[in-house]
Amino acid sequence: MELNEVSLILGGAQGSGLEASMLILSRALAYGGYGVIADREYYSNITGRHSYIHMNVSATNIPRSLRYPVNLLAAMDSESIFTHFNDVANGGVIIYDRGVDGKRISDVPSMEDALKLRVLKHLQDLNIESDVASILTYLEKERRITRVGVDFTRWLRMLASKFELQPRVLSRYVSGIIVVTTALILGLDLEYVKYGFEAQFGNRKEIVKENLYLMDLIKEDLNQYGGLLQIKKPTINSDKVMLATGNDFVAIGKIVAGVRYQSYYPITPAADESFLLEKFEVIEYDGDVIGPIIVMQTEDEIAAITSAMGASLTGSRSSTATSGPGFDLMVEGLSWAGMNEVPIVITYYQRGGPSTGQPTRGSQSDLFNAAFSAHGEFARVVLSSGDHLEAFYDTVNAFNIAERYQVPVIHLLDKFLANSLATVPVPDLSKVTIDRGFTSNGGKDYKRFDLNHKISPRAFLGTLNTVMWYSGDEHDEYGHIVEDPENRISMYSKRIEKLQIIESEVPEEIKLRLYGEGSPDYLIVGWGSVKGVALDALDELRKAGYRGMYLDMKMLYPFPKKEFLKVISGVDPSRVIAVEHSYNVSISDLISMSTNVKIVKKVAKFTGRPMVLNEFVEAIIKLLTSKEEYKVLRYGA
Amino acid sequence: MSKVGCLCCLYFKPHIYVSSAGYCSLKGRCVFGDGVVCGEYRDKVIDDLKKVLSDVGWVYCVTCRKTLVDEFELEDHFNSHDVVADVLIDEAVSDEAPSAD
Amino acid sequence: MVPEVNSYKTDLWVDWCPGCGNFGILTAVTKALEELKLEPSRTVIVSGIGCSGKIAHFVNVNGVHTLHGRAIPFAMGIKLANPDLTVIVHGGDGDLLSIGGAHFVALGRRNLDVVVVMHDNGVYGLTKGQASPTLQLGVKTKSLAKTNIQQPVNPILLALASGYTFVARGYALDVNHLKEIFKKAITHRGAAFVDVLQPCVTFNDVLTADYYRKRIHKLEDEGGWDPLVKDIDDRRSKLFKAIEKGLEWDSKIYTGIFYLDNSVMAFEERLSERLSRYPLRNPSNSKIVADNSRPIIGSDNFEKIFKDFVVYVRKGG
Repeated sequence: MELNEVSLILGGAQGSGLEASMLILSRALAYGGYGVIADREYYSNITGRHSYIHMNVSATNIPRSLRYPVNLLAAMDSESIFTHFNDVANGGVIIYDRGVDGKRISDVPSMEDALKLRVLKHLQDLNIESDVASILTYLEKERRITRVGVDFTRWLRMLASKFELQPRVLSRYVSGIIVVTTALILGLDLEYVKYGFEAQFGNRKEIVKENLYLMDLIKEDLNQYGGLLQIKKPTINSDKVMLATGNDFVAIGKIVAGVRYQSYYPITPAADESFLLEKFEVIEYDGDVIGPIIVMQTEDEIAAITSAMGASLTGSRSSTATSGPGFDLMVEGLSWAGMNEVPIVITYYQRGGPSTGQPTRGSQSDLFNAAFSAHGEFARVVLSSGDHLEAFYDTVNAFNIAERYQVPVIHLLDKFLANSLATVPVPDLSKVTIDRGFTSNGGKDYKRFDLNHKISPRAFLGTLNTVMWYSGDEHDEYGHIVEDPENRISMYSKRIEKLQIIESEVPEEIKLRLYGEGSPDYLIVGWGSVKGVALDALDELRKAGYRGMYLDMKMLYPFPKKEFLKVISGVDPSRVIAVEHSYNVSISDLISMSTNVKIVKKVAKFTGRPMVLNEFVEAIIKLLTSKEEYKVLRYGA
Repeated sequence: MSKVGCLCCLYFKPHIYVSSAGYCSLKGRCVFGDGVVCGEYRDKVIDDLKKVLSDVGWVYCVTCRKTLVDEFELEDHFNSHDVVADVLIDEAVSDEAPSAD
Repeated sequence: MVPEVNSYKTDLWVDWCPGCGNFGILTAVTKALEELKLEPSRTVIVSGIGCSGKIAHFVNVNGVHTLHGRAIPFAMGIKLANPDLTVIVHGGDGDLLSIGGAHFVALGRRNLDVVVVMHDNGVYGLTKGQASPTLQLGVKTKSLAKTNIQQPVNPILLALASGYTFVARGYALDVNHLKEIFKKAITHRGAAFVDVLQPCVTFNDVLTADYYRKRIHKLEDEGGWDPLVKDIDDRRSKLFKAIEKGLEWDSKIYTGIFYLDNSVMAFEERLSERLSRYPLRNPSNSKIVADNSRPIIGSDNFEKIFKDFVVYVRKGG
């Protein structure tokens, strides 16, 4: 039976070639016309700990969420088998290195004790020995899981007999083995894989050539397994796609939006965005230059936000990117931006907190931090994005809103979106506009904070014949410090009342989006990266007879009360479920304080791993069919 | 030593992830070390590793995936584990390692 | 547009205490700007928090009164984005060396073309005279309940160690001398630091005008003093001499230029090696929007620019 969709895990030691395997395989699949989403799960570690790629490949659409159990596990080491064997579906396949057959759990020093004990207990319950061979034999017998034992060393040796191998690049061939074996089992045309190698190692012809030789060897040896999990011919009708991560899409969005100054201090999962921007600091195009984009690695996040504000005062579109701990340091600066009405974009990638928390794991627990941090009252905007493509458009929206309303905009994303690789339609540039807001040519009596306007026209530092002042202290129209109570009322109100203008002017599609069928019998409310799993859940639940809708809250602050109330008006409140990667499911509290609508049913996940479809659907059904109000999801290694 | 092969040879530097493969400093090329050894094989004795420890500052236990920095540690590991003088770091690590803190 | 004499001061009432050293600094800086004929619209004073921070409002050029300790990174963003601007930072000793210490060091490392003027009075004036990082160990000013038990940091040595290529000290109540130092600092290409000794009449009864009058010596009055680094080989000996003079305090306090090195590339020059057309083409003047509000990257060039991310699906099948 051919499959519409295949889920798989590639597992191995961090740094050992997983990243290349994911990229080659994804490129091959994209080239072949398949849809791909790949989540990376890794430790806060440079190299050596267990890391895995969790992928979903579809022949019929662009996948939006991850699934368990998976059809295929490609294990580069024994730890991957011990960690994931239970995640493989009946009738699935495990690819592994035969050299690890005799390995026992106790032989794996990098595995955390808690997991070891859990797995050992499970094996004990099943009455199996804790070595690889015993586990695989059990899976074969009891769960019809095919073990495809391959001999890494033998193939490498054969490769070495033909080519002068550089021992320092061995992981490139290990990646090749994983990719080719996986492709064979999925019954993919190996031309796609060839494309994948060329795209990945394009400038290193010898590595492409050696991998293609390896491909022939593997094909011959593993002929019997070809098409074991045959995936259907793709039916997605698209002649091109983008293959990129959320970090990439935000960086690309910034470049299109015209960012000219980006500052950052290294932090996960934000740093990759700045790396990419740096690659594009000057774009030579058509004999001209686009840019420059100055990308500054500052001494800390405080300098990151304050230098970006300085750059913004000169009229440059400016931004910074960080995650929770870095954002905390930026908060005093955020307050200055509010006080001085500085357009600035802060891209905030959430990860697991509090404190250092789980630096490489995902989370949505910083909603309140983004919406309410900083002393004093002032206008800010918090935007979220549900997927990669939205992240691109929202990045441009963030700059436009920042400049139009002269406010700091926090673009709230998370690790799942930031790090996952996906095939995504090429953005439609005809939909993108640049709005620089109200500007002024200054002049002799220029008032930066002119009270004749709620949003005073902005002249930039350096404007001819114009001087202006900024101050974190309460100031008059010129920007000079004054503590006069009447002035205080005017200035303070001016700044805050911009929120009302924002609420009324920002287009509805930036505020929220509603998916699913009209007059639903249940409604899921969420924001950010839960969108994918929520939309897939609607489809699954429809098959089970539930008519649902998903409400994606995109603008979280100021909260779009009017639009929200319109959506919620027709729905039975006891059939509304809020979902979030956090303990508290803060979106329900935000809704409650903004609109007085109380959502009592919640789905939460705070393991740091993304919600996957199966557990999500089960939780929704449970909440719809019982008195239970709160479900905590916990799937995933 | 737990097995016979290049891993026990003085001239062998195993690859960080594929420990059966690595670099032979005598031959100056990539070799595969499981099973058969070549004519130039030289059994590593603890004094060889002690010398490396004193010259370089560390040796590596492949079994425990651990860097050993003192002689007591070396003596503890030497008899029952695969201890080597050096490890070959794969060039891909810099691309492969995620930003992770 | 160069204003007439004295129009470099705004007409705001200056609310520093009578006898405050800040008045001398304000006059010296406005005179320096005037004599250098700096255009107010092309000049920016970026200040921190405390008494010194208010100076941004008293000078009739662009003023950005920022956060405690953060004037330097604000100034960096301004200068990098619009390198045509003359950017001068004013901050107190607590502002620049305590809460903002990391930024002070980082600016030296970068040698960005910004002047840092430190209003150095040994106390936190606006919060009632707590000890600042330049107050000597064992000193008890009248506003302190107990003797200071923290060591002072030496601003001259810290600036030298950080990489500032112009390091000087002035005295707030020797306005002409200070003005000349400011002029040289402003015209210096690279990170310039001026430590300005400034009596705080209200809270510091130790570092008084009288204290300084007895101790201050001008470096240029020392025979043969030449702080200029002639070439790379000369750098080490000039640094040593600057350190030697910078270490003096108890009986002699030197003012003047300690160290001047024109041989180090300014940050803007380092950047221009990476960014073609910078600083001529820079963040503040480069185009981001095409006709009819479209971004300059559009449907026609998007895929070419981001080709590494685009996969063209194979034909057929």
